[in-house]
Amino acid sequence: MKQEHELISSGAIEQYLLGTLDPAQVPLVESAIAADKDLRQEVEQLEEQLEQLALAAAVDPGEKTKKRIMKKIRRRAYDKNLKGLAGVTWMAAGFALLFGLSTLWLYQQQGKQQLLIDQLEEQNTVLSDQTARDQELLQLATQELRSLKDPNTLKYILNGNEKAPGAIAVGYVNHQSKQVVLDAAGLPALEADKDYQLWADVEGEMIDMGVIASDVPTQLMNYIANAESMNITIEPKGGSDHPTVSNLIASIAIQP
Amino acid sequence: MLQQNLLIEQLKQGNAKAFEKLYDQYSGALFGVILRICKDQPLAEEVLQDTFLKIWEQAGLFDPDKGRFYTWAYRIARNTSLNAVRSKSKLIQKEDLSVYNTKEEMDGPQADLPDLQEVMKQLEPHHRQALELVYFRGMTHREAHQHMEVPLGTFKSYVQQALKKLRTLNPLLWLGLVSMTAWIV
Repeated sequence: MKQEHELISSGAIEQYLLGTLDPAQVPLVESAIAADKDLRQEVEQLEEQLEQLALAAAVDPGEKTKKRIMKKIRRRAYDKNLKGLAGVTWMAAGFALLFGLSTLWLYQQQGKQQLLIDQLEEQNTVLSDQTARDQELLQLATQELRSLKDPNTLKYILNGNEKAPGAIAVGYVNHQSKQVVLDAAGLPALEADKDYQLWADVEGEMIDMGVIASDVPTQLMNYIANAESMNITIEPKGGSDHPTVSNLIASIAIQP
Repeated sequence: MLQQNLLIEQLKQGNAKAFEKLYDQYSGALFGVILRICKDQPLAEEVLQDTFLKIWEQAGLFDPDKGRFYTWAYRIARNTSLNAVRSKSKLIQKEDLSVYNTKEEMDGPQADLPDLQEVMKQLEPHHRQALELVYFRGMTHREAHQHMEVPLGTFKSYVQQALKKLRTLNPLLWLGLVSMTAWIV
């Protein structure tokens, strides 16, 4: 009881519970707690309260972190199991050599299988992402092809003016399906902070048909009804709300 | 509790499944503490990993007669966090003298963390602050009393009173609070 009072009055118990006690004093406090039933009960209550407090203030570390940690732990568990097997004494080994070997083999298989499962899971995720991307591209390509093969599709060649001599882009316009496909492979590469943008002229007003992507040769653009011409300008990266007319590099009239 | 004792026994024998269950149970609570000490998400994730690897490696040293598993794990998390912050601080100091532990930084809100003021609303504000600095921010009593600008003896009594008050509260109150936070297992 005397010891309990001393510990309580010195604040060592609180420091022990809150993790701020000098490590050299920890065994002393632990022994005192183990030896005194009342003190132990009091400490247990506080431990439980602090634990609940920490749970109330918890933050989810996320599934990725858990996966990374579990991978390391499974690896270590596997190694530990192997070590455990290696430590079997000769007396036991004499009796269970065959059993031990088969168990070892099983552990190895289990470990290998776990590694294989981990690898397959990772590959599966990569392949799923790739498949989703491929499907998206295929859908786009099919749509483009359908549009190009359609007899109602009209072909327009946009030749670069004096600001972009030699530049060429081909527009395919289908008023029935209301689709426009642009082949921009013939446009020269721009500086990193610039993009080409396609515009439709409707009664003197330039309407955005979309920023021309630099990493794909053909692409679907926005169809604008009643367009009288298609125009390409050079704009800051990401495109503009209004065309920079001084940067017009190609233009062609189209049939309504 | 019996279930937990069984898990701990299995953990000591190197059972990864038991480890995973204990991880699910306590990673959030420990990460809450680690993140508040480190104030840096990537560093905190590394510290959480190191903490659980130590728990795995040192499980044999845990003695349930000497206290709860969480108290033991918390102590590992706290020490690992403080060491990581000190190492990082040393690295940064080589390039820039303005580092952590300014009063503003310690008092400043931390984004995306459950509000400790709300979590500990049953406590008096100064008791709450004392507990927060020591239990969640990793300060020693000496650092914390200077931070609160009160004498060490006064600070110690704040902590004692805070814990005394905690002991009188129904643990189920906290369980209610768990659902109020962003932590969903």
